[in-house]
Amino acid sequence: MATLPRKLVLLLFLGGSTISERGRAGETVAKAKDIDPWMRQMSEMDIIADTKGVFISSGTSTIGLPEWVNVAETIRQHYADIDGVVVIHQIETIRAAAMALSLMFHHLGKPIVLVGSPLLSPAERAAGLTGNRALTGGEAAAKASFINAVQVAVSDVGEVVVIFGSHMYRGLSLARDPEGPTGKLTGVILGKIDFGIRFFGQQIRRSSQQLRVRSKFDSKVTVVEYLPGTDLNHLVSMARGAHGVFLSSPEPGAIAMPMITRLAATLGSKIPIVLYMPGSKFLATAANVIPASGPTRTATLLRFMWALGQGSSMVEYRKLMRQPKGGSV
Amino acid sequence: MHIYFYGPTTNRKDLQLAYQAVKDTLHQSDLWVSTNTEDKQVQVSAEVMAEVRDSDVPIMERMDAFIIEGTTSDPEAGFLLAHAVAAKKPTLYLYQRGIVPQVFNHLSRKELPKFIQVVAYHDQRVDQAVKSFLQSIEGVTIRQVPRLKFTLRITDAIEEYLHFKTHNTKKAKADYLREKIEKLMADDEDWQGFQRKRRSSS
Repeated sequence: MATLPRKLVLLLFLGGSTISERGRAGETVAKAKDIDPWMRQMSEMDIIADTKGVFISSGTSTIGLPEWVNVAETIRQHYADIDGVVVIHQIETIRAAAMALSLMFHHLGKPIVLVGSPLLSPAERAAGLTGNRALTGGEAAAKASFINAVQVAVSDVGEVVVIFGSHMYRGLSLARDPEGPTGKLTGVILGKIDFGIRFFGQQIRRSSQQLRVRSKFDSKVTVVEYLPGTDLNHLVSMARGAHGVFLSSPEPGAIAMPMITRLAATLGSKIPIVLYMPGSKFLATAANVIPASGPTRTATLLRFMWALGQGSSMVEYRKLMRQPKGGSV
Repeated sequence: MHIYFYGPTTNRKDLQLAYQAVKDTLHQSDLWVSTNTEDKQVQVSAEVMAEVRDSDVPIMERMDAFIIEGTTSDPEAGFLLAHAVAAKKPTLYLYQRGIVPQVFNHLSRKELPKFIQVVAYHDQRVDQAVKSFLQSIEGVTIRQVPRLKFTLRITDAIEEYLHFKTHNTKKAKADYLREKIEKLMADDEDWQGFQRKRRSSS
């Protein structure tokens, strides 16, 4: 009888690992030495594949670009030896993480699956984390989501995927959550989990090309939110010395184009200004003004910082800011 | 009770016959049977369907038990087994005698919890394995599906009593009555004697 080769999945820990809210040893990975007891509690994953855990960050710390770049570098180091990656991530920031990782990896030949437990350990609760009210099912559901993630990590997928409840989403597409930070995710659904993992055929398959990791971000960006009545000149004056300005407003049409052109001139032609105002259409722009659209404000900002890190001219920034069609970066 | 039966897609006639035997045995009892081996994969009660629609929880988590035919190497079989262990679901893992399923190359049978039953079967004995599994979980016994329609007029008082006995339970009034009658039959010595006599004369 033909046997299938045993696969190896790399598990990276950045919070989101709680399998019970009782706070006993081995139920949350808060430091590197918690990995082994946690893996013993989740030994069901070993039925599917061999697993290897690496600690990146605690769920009670602020997780952002330095941690995601660390994730990318860790994946790069282990890439040749593994079949897939599961990033166990604090659920509150999982959407931004999915975006950042989607931007960094090109020609993925192995899936990167993000998943987070909706449950919180007592320490995570004390740190002010919220968990996720949209997911139900308690301990069984938390364990099930990790098993689902390992199964997807050994499947024929070549992109960053997020598992949330019974759905799999494209990491690059996770959209604004209408119910606030703890509600359901929306975005391009790649598949569903019912009695098994069922893809709808839209997923990008494993690439046979050489992997490229473009992990440089430039976070020296001033983020300005314009609300009607505030002094935009004053807000933008704070941007002096920044490598870019990210200007958004929750009110469509609140900022008129002549005002933006004047600001662009004030800052100088070498400082790109990204406008994120869903619902507004800008027909004429100054050379350094880049209207942008993206699934969320955070996702667009991340793309801007990545474009600044990767490009060196206004033409390149503009090209890199374009939202891709169909999933590839 | 909801059961999911998984059999990897196969062209092997012997396995197809085994799948059919499993399904035939399951269909002899009062169960909702979902299986990947039929075109209509999902067969669940309206209650479970509503729960699945309203929550973002995979339907497999609403199953009470799993049966897996794991003779051939198949990644889905391992996936289901992992879920069964994590969710503590009674599971019957079947395979043809004479082979070692791939999942047990990496996992000792002794490591599996007691609610996972692993059974190696001979060609025609798979139905026996399924019957004993069903009997072992929550005392489920193989029962005939009630197919004969019988209209019974009852009084308001009986109706009130049936409501009293079944409200806030998952049991229908008809099920309650059927169970009472079955108990009467089981306790009725005259009836049992008559049955024995009939069996010996036939």
